[in-house]
Amino acid sequence: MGENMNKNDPETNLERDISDSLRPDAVVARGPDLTDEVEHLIRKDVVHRRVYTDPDLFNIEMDRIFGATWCFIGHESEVPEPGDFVRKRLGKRQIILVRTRKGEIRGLLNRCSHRGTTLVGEEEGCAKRFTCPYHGWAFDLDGHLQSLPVADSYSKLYERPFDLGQIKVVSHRGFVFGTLAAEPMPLDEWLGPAKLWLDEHIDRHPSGSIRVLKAPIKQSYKANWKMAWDNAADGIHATFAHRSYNLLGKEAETDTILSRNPAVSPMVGYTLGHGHCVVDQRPGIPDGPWSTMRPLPTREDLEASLKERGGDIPRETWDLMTGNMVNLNIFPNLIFVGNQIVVPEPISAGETLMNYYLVMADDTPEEVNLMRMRVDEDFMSFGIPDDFEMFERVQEGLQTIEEEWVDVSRGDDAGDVVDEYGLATGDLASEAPIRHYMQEWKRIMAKPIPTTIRRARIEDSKFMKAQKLKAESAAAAVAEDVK
Amino acid sequence: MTDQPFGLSKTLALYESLVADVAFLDTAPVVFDGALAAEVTATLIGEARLLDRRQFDTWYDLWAEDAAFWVPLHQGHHPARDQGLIMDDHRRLRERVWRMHDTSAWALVPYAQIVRMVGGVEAWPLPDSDTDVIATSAISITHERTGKVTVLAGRQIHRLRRTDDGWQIVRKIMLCPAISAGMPHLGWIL
Repeated sequence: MGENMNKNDPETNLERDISDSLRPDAVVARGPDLTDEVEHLIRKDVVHRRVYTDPDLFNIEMDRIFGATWCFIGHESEVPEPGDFVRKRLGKRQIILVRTRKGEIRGLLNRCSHRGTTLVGEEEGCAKRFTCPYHGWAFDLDGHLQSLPVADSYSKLYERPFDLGQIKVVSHRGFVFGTLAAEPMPLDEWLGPAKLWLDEHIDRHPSGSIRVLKAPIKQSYKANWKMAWDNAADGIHATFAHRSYNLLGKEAETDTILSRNPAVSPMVGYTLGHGHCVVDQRPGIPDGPWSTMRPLPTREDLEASLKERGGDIPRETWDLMTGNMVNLNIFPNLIFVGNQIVVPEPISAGETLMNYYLVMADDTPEEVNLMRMRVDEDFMSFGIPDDFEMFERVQEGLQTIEEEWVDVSRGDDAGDVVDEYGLATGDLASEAPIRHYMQEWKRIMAKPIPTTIRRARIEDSKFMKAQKLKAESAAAAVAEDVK
Repeated sequence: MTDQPFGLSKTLALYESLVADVAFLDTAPVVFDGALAAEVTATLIGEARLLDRRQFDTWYDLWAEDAAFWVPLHQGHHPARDQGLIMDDHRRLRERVWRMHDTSAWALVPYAQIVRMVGGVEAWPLPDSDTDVIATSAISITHERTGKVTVLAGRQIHRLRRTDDGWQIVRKIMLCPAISAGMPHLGWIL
């Protein structure tokens, strides 16, 4: 497959029976078999540059990884009341994450089932129904077609179902994951050991309850989405790429979390299966997360305020103001860093929009949440720009087509400990997390994955009823023959 | 609110007052104080020139001790309820200036070329203060670094304080619509 060849574009080369996808219950696997291709691109210790630069591979990623694999969609706390919705993305598809009248969470495709218009343009809101502004079709919060003007102008109404398309959504403790896969593996199995780390993340908050602020900080960089992934569990970059942040900490006589010597740091990383991984920085900071924070705006006032409330403020309360220093990465689009949930949104092979959602703690003094906002703004200004600079420089460097390979071998046979399940434990400098998710990328990308669109009343459509009738009469005919 | 600890009340009062400065735009007299506007215009365009020309230390000296610099993600946001892009005090402004000079701030070196255009300056005296006034202006910023151009427009709201040594900047709020849509990092914005 070449850089500029369209033959593998899932939009133009559909190796499938076109008539098949007209069926309301169609299960379609799109695009070419890439088994040999990915075998060539992803080796044990090196990755081909085209994994980051090839627009054809990117289009297939939007189908297989950001479509037919479990992706993080949003958090239930973003839609607390019936009718509340937020507009999200699954790859290029717009999803309306909505809470129904019954309190259930649904992921509706933001695409009118008539001519394709997006139904909502707002990032968030509260609605009784979704009405298409183009021709007035109205859908209830479950996605049922509620009404359409001049219904008797259709001779074939309901031959195909006109209820809104949906993705399958499953929540784990408020975190909503979604997919279009026809037969996705159970979410528990997909999360695997990462689920325990996710639970730990949630449980550090009082009552195990968190609230995600709806408006993320959105910032884009001109490089592939996987740069963010490579970076998320890369302990050694912190010393160098974030030299400025670390020097700033020293100015304030603070040892920032990133300033530790990676050669002797006791921090540890684990791969967790299905591309997930975690870096536990806590062993490197015996005085706890709060000790790594520089003086920040309002800090003295809010500290004094907490003390004024009386009693001993437990260390957990102070630590709650900053992150837990456990960077959990759930492939392909859920990164926990500080008190933020970071959701990379691929725009093209060479552009990514990062969404930084802030997590608030419930049942905690107001000072804690006020401080959380100022803590996370700090790294947005003094840390993340330097990360983006590295991502863009890598993407620029990878334009050299003759230098085909990217090295990710650090730690392999040199410090990493691999257990009987193939999961690796490495020190801060190990690139085991990159090798790990690349193997998962390879597994997912190798073959077309059957996908299907869920709808509210597929069985009620005239098409399906006719199919059923046909099948029944065929069965009756067979029975007759047998007689 | 008397039942709140002092530090919390102080912080919330600052945030409320920042939001009030934004809301002031909707209720301010249609006709501004022309003489006052002419006076503060010199400070606002001077600030823009100092930043464009990287005279950060001189710029920092313009700021009052009780400084607040706020860049919300959306013009309807509240600093006590929403994360912002920037919510700085005097100390963090000092750190931004420090970083502007830091040669290991990889996102900022090589240095950018920036031009800020300030226009439409309006100003009003504040009824509850003998020294502080409020001014608003439109700003257009063109930023070039390593061959990439970022163009950004916004509305600035300044609180300025009259002192014996001229005008001090007490607060600055920047409302930039493009931020909520998502754009390249603004690690250089001041």
